[in-house]
Parts: sequence; C-alpha cells; structure tokens
Amino acid sequence: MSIKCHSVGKSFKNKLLFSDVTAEFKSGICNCLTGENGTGKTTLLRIIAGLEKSDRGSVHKIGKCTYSGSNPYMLRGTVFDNLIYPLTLKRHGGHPDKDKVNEMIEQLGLRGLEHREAATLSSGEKQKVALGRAMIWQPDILLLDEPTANIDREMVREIENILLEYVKNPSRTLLLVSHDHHQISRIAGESWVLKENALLKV
Amino acid sequence: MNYILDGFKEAIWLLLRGDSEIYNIIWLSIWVSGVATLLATLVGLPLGIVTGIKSFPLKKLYGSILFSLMGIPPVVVGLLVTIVLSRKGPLGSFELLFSPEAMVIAQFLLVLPIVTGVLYGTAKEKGKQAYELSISLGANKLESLKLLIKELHSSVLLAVMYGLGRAISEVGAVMLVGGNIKGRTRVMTTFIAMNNSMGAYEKSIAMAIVLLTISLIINGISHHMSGGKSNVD
Repeated sequence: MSIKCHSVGKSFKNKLLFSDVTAEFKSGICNCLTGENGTGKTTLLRIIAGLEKSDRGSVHKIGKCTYSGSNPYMLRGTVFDNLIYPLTLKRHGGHPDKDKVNEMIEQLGLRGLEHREAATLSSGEKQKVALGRAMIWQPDILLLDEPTANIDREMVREIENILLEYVKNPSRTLLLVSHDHHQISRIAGESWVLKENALLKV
Repeated sequence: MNYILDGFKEAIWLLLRGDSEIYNIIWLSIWVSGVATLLATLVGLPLGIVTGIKSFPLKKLYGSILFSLMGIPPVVVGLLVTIVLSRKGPLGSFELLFSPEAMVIAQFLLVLPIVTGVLYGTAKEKGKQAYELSISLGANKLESLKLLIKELHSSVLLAVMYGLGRAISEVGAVMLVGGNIKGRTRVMTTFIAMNNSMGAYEKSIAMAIVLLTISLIINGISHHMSGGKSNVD
C-alpha cells in the first residue's frame, strides 16, 4: 500500500514549486515531509490525495486514502457529528458505530467536548477532531498536514503514539508534514525534505 | 392630505370585507412568484454549488456575468420573453404570451441568476472546503452534494428568500409578458401601478399594504437566515 510518485511537477502562479518529484513512501512506517514555507509540501500532499492536479508526472497509490489539512474544516454540528460523519457514508458501510466514535473521543482526549459545536473549538481541538475524523474509518493511506501544529506538548506525544500505533499495520501508509525537527526525529521511519524544487530523502 | 387617510381607511375595509378580486390577485401573485422561485431553485441550487466549487476556464468571467445578471432590469427580461413568446417569435406557436405561464417564465429568468449567484459566492468560499473534505473522507458525488446543501443550508434558504422577494415585488416583466389582464394575469404590482395611474389610491394602498407585509415577512426571514449580517454564512 505504498505511495509512488513519478516525475511529479507543479507550478503555482508561474512559480515552480517542484519539477521532478520521484519517490516511494513506504507502508508500515511514518514518512515525514519537511521543508521551508512555500516549497510545496501541502501541494504535494494534495496532489497525492487527488485534490489537486499535477502539471506533469503521476502518482500511484492503492487503497483508501484520506487527507487532513493544517487548518481543518469543521462540519456543522457537534464534535460527535464530525467524528461519526465518515461512518455514515456508503463506502464505509453506512451503518455508523457509536462505540467507535466514543473510543476515538477517548483516545484523542476529547471527552467533555463531544457535544460542543465543532466550529467553536480552538485550533488545537479542531486538529484533534480532524485527525479522529480522518482515522476513524481506518484508511490505508493517511496524509496529514501539520496535524499537531497547535496542540499542547503532552498531547502531541500521545498523538504521535496513536499515529505510530496506526502504522504498525504494514498495509497502512502515513505521510506527515511537519516543521518540528524533534518530532521528526521521534517518529520518522523515513524523512524527506522539499528543497530547491526537489524532494530529497534525508 | 384627507385623500391619503381616506385611501388607508378604504384599503383596510377592502381587505377586511374579503373582496374576491383583491384576494384572487394576491393568490395569483404568490402562485406565479412561488412557482418561478421553485423552478429557479431546482436549477440554480445545483448550478450555483457545482460552478462554485469546481475550477474551469473563464470562471472569473462566468462569475462577473452571473453577478451582473443578478441585477438585470425586469423590463429587459420582460421584453426578451415577449419577443420570444410573441406570435412571430421562436416559441410563438405555444401561445403563452399574456398568460400566467409566461409570467412564470419571466420571473424564473429573473430569479435564476439570484439563486445561482448567491450559492455560487458561498460555495466558492466555504463549499470548496466542505466538498474536498467529503471527497477525502470517501463520499460519493450524491453524498457530497447532500453534505454541501446541509453545510450551506442558510445560504440556500437565503437565496430562495432573495429570489422570492425579487419576484413578488417586480412589475416590469410581468406587466410586459402578462399584460395585466383582469382575472387572468393581474398581479399585485401591476394592480398597484394601474390603480395609481387611474387615481384609485384606496385600492393601490390596500394592495400596497399586502405587498409590503409579504415583502417584510420575506425580508425578515432572509435577515434571520443571514444571522443579521449582510454576508451569508
């Protein structure tokens, strides 16, 4: 269930972001992607997720894939409504399991917030909800853009453990964008840097 | 000044005694504008949302044209529909001119850009995020559209209310395509215009009270939908 990028290139408003990204992001480990602002990390993630088109090259991925952005959108309704939404979709059976949602609430330390309007949460709480919403339907490929950027330090460690636990399953692939080098050294199975229009393995 | 006061007294009396002509006109106005708004919503809702969230060539130009059409003068629409539906026009064989159906067509064309434009504007901003989220969580197209309607529901209702408000209060288009025929195509606005020109102010005032009440209700609902703000959602 790895992700393979072949000669992927993208420009934005006449500015070249990257010209020839060729890489294989392995399953069963945490792949960390870093780089300075404006180098195209988010764009690369969105291209892999299929939310944006590349100018050239191709991406091959097998399995269910999800993307969660750094400024996640909260659906109307409560935290619980947001977490249960993916389970209501036909593709995931359409029979939402409330126990799963409660388990996720517990795991992410969202107990007590489950009936709060999701739009009223703080940035860090929104990120936790977005992470739970992305993981609850157990996709094979998890693409996360700075998932712990606004979360307090203690909780960051817990989330890192949850993510590492998630990719213990060898059929799952995790690609995570982070600016936190300590975090990368803690969790990365492989790390990559987008620099000077190219993706380099560190 | 007395004639204005008398006009008001007479107007209240006309409404209270249940004048059948007045009530038939009110009913026809609501029916024509309601059907036109319903049809415009059926077309404009998916059109506004889909064009708002999707990227396509000349989208900016499309947006500019759409927003310009939101303010198109009703007489221009009335004139166009009259030309198309007149005997010598391309749809003249249907003999629709000077009928309530022709008025529905004219008002549909007036309301369609409003419903589409309001939803296009909201979907472009907020709808795209919701759409991308639903797609990345594995929703199919129908599930995505359902989610978008749910997410944008206050804008949807607001668009419908704006459209209905525009339809029920316009006079130019229905006057041209309907002809203000008594018992057939006379609606509140054409009734007011006609009685005003004849100096029958009491009837004009009576109808104006009803029209104003309906407009206030529609605007009140629109205001409530937008949370008391001018921008939607």
